[in-house]
Amino acid sequence: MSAADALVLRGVRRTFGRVVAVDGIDLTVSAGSFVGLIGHNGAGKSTLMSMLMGLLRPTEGTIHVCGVDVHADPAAARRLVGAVPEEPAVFPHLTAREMLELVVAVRGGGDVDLALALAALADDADRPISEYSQGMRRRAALAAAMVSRPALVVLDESINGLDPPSAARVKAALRDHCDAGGTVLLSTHVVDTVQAVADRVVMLAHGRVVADENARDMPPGGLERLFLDRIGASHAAGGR
Amino acid sequence: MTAAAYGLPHIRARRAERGRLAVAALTLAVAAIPVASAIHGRLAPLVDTASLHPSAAALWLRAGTVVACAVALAVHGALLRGPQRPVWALLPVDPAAVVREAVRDVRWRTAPWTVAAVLAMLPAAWTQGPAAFVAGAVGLAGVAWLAASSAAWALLGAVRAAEDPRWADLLDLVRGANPRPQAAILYAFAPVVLGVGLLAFAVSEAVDAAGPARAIVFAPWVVAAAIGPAVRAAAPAWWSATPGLEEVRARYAAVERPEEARRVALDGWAPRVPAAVRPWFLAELRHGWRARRGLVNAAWAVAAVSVWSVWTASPEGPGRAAAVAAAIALAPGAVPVLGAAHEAPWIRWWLADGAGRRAAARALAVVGWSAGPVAVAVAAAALRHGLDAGGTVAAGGGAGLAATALLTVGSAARRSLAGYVAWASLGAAGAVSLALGGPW
Repeated sequence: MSAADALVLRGVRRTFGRVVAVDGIDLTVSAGSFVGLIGHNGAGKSTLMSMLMGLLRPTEGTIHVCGVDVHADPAAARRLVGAVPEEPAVFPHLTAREMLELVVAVRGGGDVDLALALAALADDADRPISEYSQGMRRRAALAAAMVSRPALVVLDESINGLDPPSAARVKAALRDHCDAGGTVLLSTHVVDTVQAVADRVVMLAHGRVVADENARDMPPGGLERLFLDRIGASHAAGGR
Repeated sequence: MTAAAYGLPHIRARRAERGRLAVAALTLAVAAIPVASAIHGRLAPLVDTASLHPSAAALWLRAGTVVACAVALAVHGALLRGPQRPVWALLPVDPAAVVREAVRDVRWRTAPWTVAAVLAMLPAAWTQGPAAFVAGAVGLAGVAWLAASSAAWALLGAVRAAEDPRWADLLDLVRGANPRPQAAILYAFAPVVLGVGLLAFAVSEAVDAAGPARAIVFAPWVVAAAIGPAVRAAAPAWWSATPGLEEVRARYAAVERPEEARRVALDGWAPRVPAAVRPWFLAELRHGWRARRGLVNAAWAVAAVSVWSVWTASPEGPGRAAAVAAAIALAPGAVPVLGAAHEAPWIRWWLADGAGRRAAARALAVVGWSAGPVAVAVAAAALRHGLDAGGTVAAGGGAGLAATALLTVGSAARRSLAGYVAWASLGAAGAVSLALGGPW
């Protein structure tokens, strides 16, 4: 594990009874990179993301963010990670501004107005989140994850469901975050999204990494072909 | 950040709910007037203070126990499974501040329960004089205050114990089919109820005492202050609750044995049900159990209250237990009504010719879900007071069950939940009235 590694997974395995959701994943992500995690439904993406966020413990293995063990030192790890789970977590009775101010206060810094602008919520910042549409709630959760510019941003299917202008704005903000030295791990099953913004793509099938490629070198449509080649075959065969 | 900021989501949530709670309280108050008037004659002996025992200690104890249990359950909801956890769990929060604000919020939300309990004690306790009444009120409020602190401490301790290998063997011994965190959390209520219950007993006895001994009513406040540091020390375990509860959820979601996951309560009854009714019966059982098993299980909680009310030397115990037993079927009875209210129109059209069989199936499901809890109440009465008392409770429970089954069938056919609630309330009041003044 080097100082330049934002995320290091070693032998991460997660079982639920006899079901193996994540099956011994080793992964190292350098600081400043944008990694897209793709896979079919049930591939283990959300389980892996939950473990990265500290919401679920691995059955075996370790997860370190910038050298901090996510599960041994949860508070220190949370300072380094901004996360949006598949189901966005927000305080419905706060306004977006109040929620972001609370996050900034807990994290010890951040620019609320900038985050509201990035999430296109500036005009609705003083309305309770309970009055927001599902897409707006997702954007509020994204703003909360990004407001303090954490070292690692972990997003589980968080861009899916956004309208095209909002999605483009969020992708640009995530790209800027990486250019400034931050790291992004985006889980999705939409391959076009990954090819548009990611530097690297990691494919999961049946809890295992089946491909780990440089997304920048791929020709248009190359990622979809790779997906169908690696995951389509694995998925059809039932994995193990 | 200032520690007070952790309370902001609680404050905003309470403000958002204030209007709804006020409307509900007003509606209940208005609805209570004709109901109280209608059954006043039957209930008169209960509120006739002259007929009460000169000591109100037993009543203070019961009121304190009920409030303490309700507060402990509210702490469980706020601290472990509340809607704020998913948000806080992603942030580098100070767990001590999160725990403190959750407990404070529960105290705010449950304060009206304490006030209601004290007001309910007014007719009985005032006969001993204002000083005794105030002492009882102070003690009861202290019991509620202590219940919040001690529940927080016990639940955080349970979360920690669930991941401590030193507790693994003991938890495995008692957890049955539950995952360890679930078992630890369930058992955490035992020391709370025992400890707070003992203090509530001491307080209730102190209300009757004269002179300085009455100062024991302040004991819960003192103990609550004393365990404050212990709650703060246990707060780091708050982090572990998220992955711990996720283990519980995953354990139940994992289909280790598909036949186990599909099984519902009373499935085994189906072969004994007439073939014409069987499909409808299975549909009621399965939809009801999978969608609303909380209401089905609530019957067992009411049965526990019935056992609790009969377990006394007082000859009034069986009568009170019969009244409670009459209400056992009310929550399960709401399940078919809710199911019918949320049923898609095309299903109603598709199943239109099965109205009579559906009615029979709904009645059978309600009887099936409620018979066990009623039997528990009857057995407790027979054990404590003899067979006659068991018969009294059986009559109350049976009458309530029959009335609820009829009400369920009628309300489900009309898909009228509001009607069910209104008539069930009147039916419960009538059962109480009969149990207190009836001929049996």
